Amino acid sequence: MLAVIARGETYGYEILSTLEGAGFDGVGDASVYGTLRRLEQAGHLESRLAASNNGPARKYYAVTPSGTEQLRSGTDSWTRINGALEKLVQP
Amino acid sequence: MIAEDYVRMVAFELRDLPWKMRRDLVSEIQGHLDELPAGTDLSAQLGRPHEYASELRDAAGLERRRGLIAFLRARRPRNVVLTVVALTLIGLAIGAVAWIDSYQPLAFAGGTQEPLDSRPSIGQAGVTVVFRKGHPFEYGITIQNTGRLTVRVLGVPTSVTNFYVGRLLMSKDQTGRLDELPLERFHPFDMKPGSFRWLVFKGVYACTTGIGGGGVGVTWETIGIRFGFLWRTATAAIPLDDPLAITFPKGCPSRPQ
Repeated sequence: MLAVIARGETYGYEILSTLEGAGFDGVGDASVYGTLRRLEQAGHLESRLAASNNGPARKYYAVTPSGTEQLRSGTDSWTRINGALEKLVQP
Repeated sequence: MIAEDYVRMVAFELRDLPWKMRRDLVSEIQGHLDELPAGTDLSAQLGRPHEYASELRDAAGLERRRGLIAFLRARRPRNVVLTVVALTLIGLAIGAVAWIDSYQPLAFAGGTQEPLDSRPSIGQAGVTVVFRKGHPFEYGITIQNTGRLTVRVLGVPTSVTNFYVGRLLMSKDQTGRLDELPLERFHPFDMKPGSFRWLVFKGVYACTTGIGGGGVGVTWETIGIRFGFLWRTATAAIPLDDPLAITFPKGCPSRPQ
């Protein structure tokens, strides 16, 4: 989620579409909004409301410095774990 | 299921969350549903409302909240304020009605005009007078308004222990001595806080009590004063410092024999 939002300010439906486009078909809509809520509460995201031509105002999210740090930390962890797994599974 | 119903049902499942948090979540869900293509089967796409709400809770780390504080926080602040104001006003109204219903400021003011030929009662406070049918009877007391609000004095109710027939008279307001001003026939009047006046029973002894045998008596220990305050009328039983005892040596049947 942080990686998607770090590309640029975006909103829930667009985040979900991006995740699905990247192959995360099983991600539930409610999980996305719940996670957004949790990340915002943790200070990793900030949001603003902007008018939409397609219904009520959209809530746009952006990554905060804390979120950027969290993303970097998560990316490092993932890279390390992924590297370790590759060593294990390679014949 | 249309989007409005879906959102409403999800909101119901989240009803324990603080109002502002719930409003934001519901608004976001509403926005999300508006982005979906028309005709989307919401339950198939998102799960049933309670499943959606449950998934949302899990992802957001929102546990179900219980208790009075959670209940109040789940209400819209404006509604909580309005409810508190309404309950306060109702409580004040109930208190005001209860207070008005119990308000009784009339009291004996200390002045008494004893009947002619009365003498101190033996072994008890007050005076005693012997009933003599047809003879003049005059008895006066002072009453005062000890409260902070004006009441309307309406009269003196007829009692079964009356033993005279005649008129009820009264003095002008603020009359401390009975001989200061002439008396006038009683009529309802407003009694202001701190004011006082005389009420005088003037007539002749008469058989109205129904006392048949001799040697009995009646005692006025209180005088009932009918009064009105706002919408309420009531009778105040005003204790007398000097009870008035009347003895009937020969009895006094109420019906002529």
